[in-house]
Amino acid sequence: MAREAGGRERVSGWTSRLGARLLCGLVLLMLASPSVAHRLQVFAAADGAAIEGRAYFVGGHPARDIAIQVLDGEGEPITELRSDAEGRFRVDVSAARDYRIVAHSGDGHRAEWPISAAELAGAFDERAASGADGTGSDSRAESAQAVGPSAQELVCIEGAELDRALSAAIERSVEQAVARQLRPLREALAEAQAQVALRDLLGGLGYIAGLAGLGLWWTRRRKTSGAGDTDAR
Amino acid sequence: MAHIPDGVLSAPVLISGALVSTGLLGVALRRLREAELPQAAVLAAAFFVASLISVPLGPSSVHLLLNGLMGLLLGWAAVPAIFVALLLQAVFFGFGGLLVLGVNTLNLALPALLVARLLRPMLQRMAELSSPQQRRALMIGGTAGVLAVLLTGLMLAASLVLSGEAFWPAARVIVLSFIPLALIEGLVTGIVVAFLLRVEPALLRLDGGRHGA
Repeated sequence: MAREAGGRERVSGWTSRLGARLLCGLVLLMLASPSVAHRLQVFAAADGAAIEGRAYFVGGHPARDIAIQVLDGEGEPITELRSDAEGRFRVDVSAARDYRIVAHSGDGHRAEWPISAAELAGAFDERAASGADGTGSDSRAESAQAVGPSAQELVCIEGAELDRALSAAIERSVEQAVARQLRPLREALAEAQAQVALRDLLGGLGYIAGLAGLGLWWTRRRKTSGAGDTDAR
Repeated sequence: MAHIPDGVLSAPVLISGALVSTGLLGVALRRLREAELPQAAVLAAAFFVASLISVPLGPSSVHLLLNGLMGLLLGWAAVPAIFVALLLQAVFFGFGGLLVLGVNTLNLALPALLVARLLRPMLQRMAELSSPQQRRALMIGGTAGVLAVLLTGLMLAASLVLSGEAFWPAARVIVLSFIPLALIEGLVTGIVVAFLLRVEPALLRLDGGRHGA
């Protein structure tokens, strides 16, 4: 009995040592390897009147040729396309509203990214504004002619109109430029947030060690309290 | 892959996966003995970490599963080890969802149990020989690795198809990524088992076939 128990202890010592070596190897490999995670992620942002994005496995390579679904805010499918060899995709949209981009690799990987109406608003404002401007100035010119204002008045009105149009145009282009500049930053942030940090890894290992300790403590306790039947199980 | 996220599977698949996993877990916990705990914990930790090292393969991304090795070395104790590691992966890494934990556990643990049933007695008999054969250990380990990964792939495909995923795309991706993975996994498992046999054959006959078979 005692010999057997000794053997068992020796054996579990060996396993633990071997396992620890295996574990160290894996941890080192993980820290050294550039592709450290295994989760599909998709990022998308408005680019003018289109949505442009990229699907990738976190920490590494692009998700090539996978299905990308474009849904509206309520989850109704609008269109479906596939990512290219670099995991990129681009889809033109017809209105500024909420969208959801869902990537599907077909083998059970799935990822989602929301696009808010505000992101797309710039491009559609521009269209609406240019359309409205055209008709607006026309009708104004007509009415001005009908009333028959002096030439000077006309210049004044046109000047004010031009001013307003110009400031709106500047606002839009600044908005677009800022969005363009921020895009890589947002993309990098999304990727960094999805990446596994060392503290996650160590936290998980700590939990496993703790659970094993708890289990050992529990069985030990049960053994000592149920005196005598040490080998009942 | 082996970590299905939330929102992919249908409710009936999720519920039956959870029920069967709970049942297996209950049986496994009752069979769990003190001497197996450190071993199970160490292999759970290895499984937990292994998911972080993934390589692009086909249209997807794969990593070692190690469930064949767990089945061979742990027998029934592989079930709680896999469950705990999957739970922690979901919480800490965001791999797989919490709702699909049952299905994911089942997809990995059932192949491990099958390997334990078919190959573990064989390995234990061999480990008791006076002159253990390295090559056979390599073969047994390799078979365990290949078998477990292929079975996991099949079960994964089944869970996707039963949830209404299109069959051919799912099958294509899984065949493309699981067959190469099965070969790598078989090699790794075989080498580990042969190494164990060389350095410490007693480890492989730990419980003398008391419940592995």
